[in-house]
Amino acid sequence: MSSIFAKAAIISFIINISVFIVISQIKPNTPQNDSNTVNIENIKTSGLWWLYPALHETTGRTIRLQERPDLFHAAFAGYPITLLYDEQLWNKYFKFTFDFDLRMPASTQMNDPFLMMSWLGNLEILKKYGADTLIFGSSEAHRELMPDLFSKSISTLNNYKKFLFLTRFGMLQESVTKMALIVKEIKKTQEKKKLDSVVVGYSFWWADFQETAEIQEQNILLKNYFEQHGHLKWLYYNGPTLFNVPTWGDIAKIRYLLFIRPRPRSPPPIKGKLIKDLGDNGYLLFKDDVNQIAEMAKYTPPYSSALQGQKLRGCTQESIYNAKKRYKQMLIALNEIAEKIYIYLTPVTPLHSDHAHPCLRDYVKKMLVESASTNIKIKVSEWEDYGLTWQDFVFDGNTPETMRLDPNHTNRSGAEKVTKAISHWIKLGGRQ
Amino acid sequence: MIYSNPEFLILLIPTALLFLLLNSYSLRFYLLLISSLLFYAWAGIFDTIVFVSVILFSWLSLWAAHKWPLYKKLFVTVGISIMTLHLFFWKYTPWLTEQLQFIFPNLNGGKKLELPLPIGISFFTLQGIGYLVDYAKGKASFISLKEFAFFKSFFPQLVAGPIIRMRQILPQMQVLEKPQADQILDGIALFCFGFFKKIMIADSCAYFVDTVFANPIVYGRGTLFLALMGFTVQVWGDFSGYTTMGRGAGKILGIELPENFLSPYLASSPSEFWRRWHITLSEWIRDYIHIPLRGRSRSELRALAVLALTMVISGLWHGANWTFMICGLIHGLLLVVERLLLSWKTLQSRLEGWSYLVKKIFNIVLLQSCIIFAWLIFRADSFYVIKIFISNFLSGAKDQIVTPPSGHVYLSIFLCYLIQIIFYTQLKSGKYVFIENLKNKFEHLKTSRPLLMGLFWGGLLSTLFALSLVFRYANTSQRFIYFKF
Repeated sequence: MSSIFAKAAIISFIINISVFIVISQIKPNTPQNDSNTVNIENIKTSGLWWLYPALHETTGRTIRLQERPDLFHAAFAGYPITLLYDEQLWNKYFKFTFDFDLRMPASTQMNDPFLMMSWLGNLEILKKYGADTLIFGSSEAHRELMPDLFSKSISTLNNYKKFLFLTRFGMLQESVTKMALIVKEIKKTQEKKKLDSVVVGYSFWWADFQETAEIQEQNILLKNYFEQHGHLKWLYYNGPTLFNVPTWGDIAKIRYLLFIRPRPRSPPPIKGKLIKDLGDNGYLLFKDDVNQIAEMAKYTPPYSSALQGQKLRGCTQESIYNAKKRYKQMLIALNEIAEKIYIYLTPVTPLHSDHAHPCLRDYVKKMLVESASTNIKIKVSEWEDYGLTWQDFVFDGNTPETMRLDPNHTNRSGAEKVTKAISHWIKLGGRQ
Repeated sequence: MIYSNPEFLILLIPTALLFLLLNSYSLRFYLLLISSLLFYAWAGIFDTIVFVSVILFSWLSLWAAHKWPLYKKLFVTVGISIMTLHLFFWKYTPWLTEQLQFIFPNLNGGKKLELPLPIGISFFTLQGIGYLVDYAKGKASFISLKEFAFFKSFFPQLVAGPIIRMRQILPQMQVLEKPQADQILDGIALFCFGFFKKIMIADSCAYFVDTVFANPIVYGRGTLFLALMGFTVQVWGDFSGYTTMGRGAGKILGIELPENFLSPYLASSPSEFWRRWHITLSEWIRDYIHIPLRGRSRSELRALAVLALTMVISGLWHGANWTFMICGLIHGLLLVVERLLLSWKTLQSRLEGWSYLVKKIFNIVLLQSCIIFAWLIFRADSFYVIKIFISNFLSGAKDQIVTPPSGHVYLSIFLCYLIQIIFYTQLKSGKYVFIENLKNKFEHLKTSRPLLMGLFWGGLLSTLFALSLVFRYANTSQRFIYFKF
């Protein structure tokens, strides 16, 4: 009898787990948005691009890039117009996730527009059309560098032509390293074996970022990319020091964060205070208080939806060791693909940088400066050195009387300051 | 290879299926041996070379002792020395060098000595030493190289225990019977349950605990206490989860491995704690360190000193660090105090008038407080962290920064104690205290309605497994804590 029990239980277990795995592979239906919002993935399937005002991702509008060459030249500075009409390439491009945005030239319809783009899709452009300068980094890099202004400022030097952003929201240092390996493989097939330069916006939180769903997600994206491109497969599976083995996450792609974890509601702003905006990154404040931010910030604990303290370690031997190890791996990989490497510490407000222990921040600066050489140029200026103020991190709020302070992304005026400073620094050959 | 990663199942499932299909004993034997070596080889070529060398050298000393019985003790001593020295070299040389650099700053050019630590080194070394000692005492017989390799490398116990004895595995190894459906089901159940403990309890606490311990100075009393409680349940979930998964994998392959945890946090005296926590290590230390050190002396002072020393050695076994040593000393002192009070019962008798339950709870809480404090020493990277913890705790400091989300930690603490209460067993009889009746009813239903109950049980196990999978994706599975020992 007990044998019948055991066999029934084993069969039931196997069937249930198989059903679970099959169900977990089905892409969940994203709930329909209301009339004011549009889902970026749905737009993408129609081959349309998504343009939206700063910090208001869901209230933008669709565009056809072929009808807006001005945006094309801003987003893909230096690339020939033939790219814009390369249907075959865009068919491929639109199959990738759109996971980063670039600041576009202002227009009468939108003061500070962003164009949603694809991280891995840009690799397809690199494959077919090459590049002279690649820009790596997380949102601090792609939101603070204005592509059109950046390319215009630098293009006075003859050797900078095609600029391509390989950035992503929350891009990790490990992902830069892996991307560099992919670029190396791609460059092998091209006439020009090395890029002129790479520009890396080093986010201080890279120093000792702990394993999280973000790492998992980026690993999966890169792993899938490798697997879709046969000639890169070998590299993926033979780079044990750089790549993780497939995880359960690959088997059970459950969107836990999306479906189980509730998105918190933001509390109402309070006069004279910076209030954590739990729904999105940053703080809420009253417009009248905008000139008092420096004072208010003194009494406000650091906060970021991405770095709620739990993912960044303090200043321990281990964190310092990790910072050094990760940075070294990245430098080795970047050295293989570019003649010159420009690395700058992305300027953020203390409300963001205070997530890390002061001693770790000091160590990171020292580590970056010490790595400088003839081909590696380093810029570790503080945010004030860029001429940035608190007002450069403030955006319109959801209501006319409120504003939002984003502690690690500048607004348009701040981005102009950063872009000018970085391009000036590069023009000077990386001398501070 | 980590049990909670898919590559382990990629190894286990084909091995188990082939094991069921193969009719020849030798083929089944070599299948398990090769799978075990493959399992270890996953750790890297360097680790594998060290591991295989240890197997070869220790077996050679065994062979020599067998061949020339006159010099049996000499060869066994050589074998034990080889294993002890190699453990000492990989594990303690860097730490010892660091300590010596305080006196001789130019030692090793003033640089920190860094050596790779072969995975599971402490476990397979203890296992090998235990066998050689038993052989020297005539408690174990000579075995061939392939049997010795099997004993040392059987993968469900290889990296982090349980530490098996030859007498436990030899009879099973010499038969390698195909498992029956009941045994496979029990194996699956244990594996799922271990996986659940690892993911839902241990990993759920990991981020919070790591974050707070990395920078304790900015956290207040409440957060620090929660982190400490979090680590208390994390270390149990992690280690008992690992051994439960290992026992499950062993059962699926028809081999029974010994139980390693029996609701340790419900122990009411220090000695009971060690009869419930990492049982195979406690027994190993008792048989191969404590008893030989104590000898036949009747001196009470010596008994107490040996007790404390044994626990210090046990602490040091966990890692080359002063904190581990002190943690061991704390446990040693607890045992000494217990012995000085003749038995914990004496303490209980002083609480006359208190009901049995109140006394029991008082003892558990008292012991838990001591154990939690010992875990602080165990987890801290340095004395600085311990000092900050204690000073912030005593001064009633408040959080200076936003604390990491802690919802999972509360859930883990609840689950940890709930599971230990549900599966609390009497040490002598091995019977469940709270669910014995339920278990009997279930057994009865299994016989009266086998199909229905089978479907129900399979559904329950798969739900447990699927739930753990979901949370594993959300948390990102951590390495097992005991892997570094």
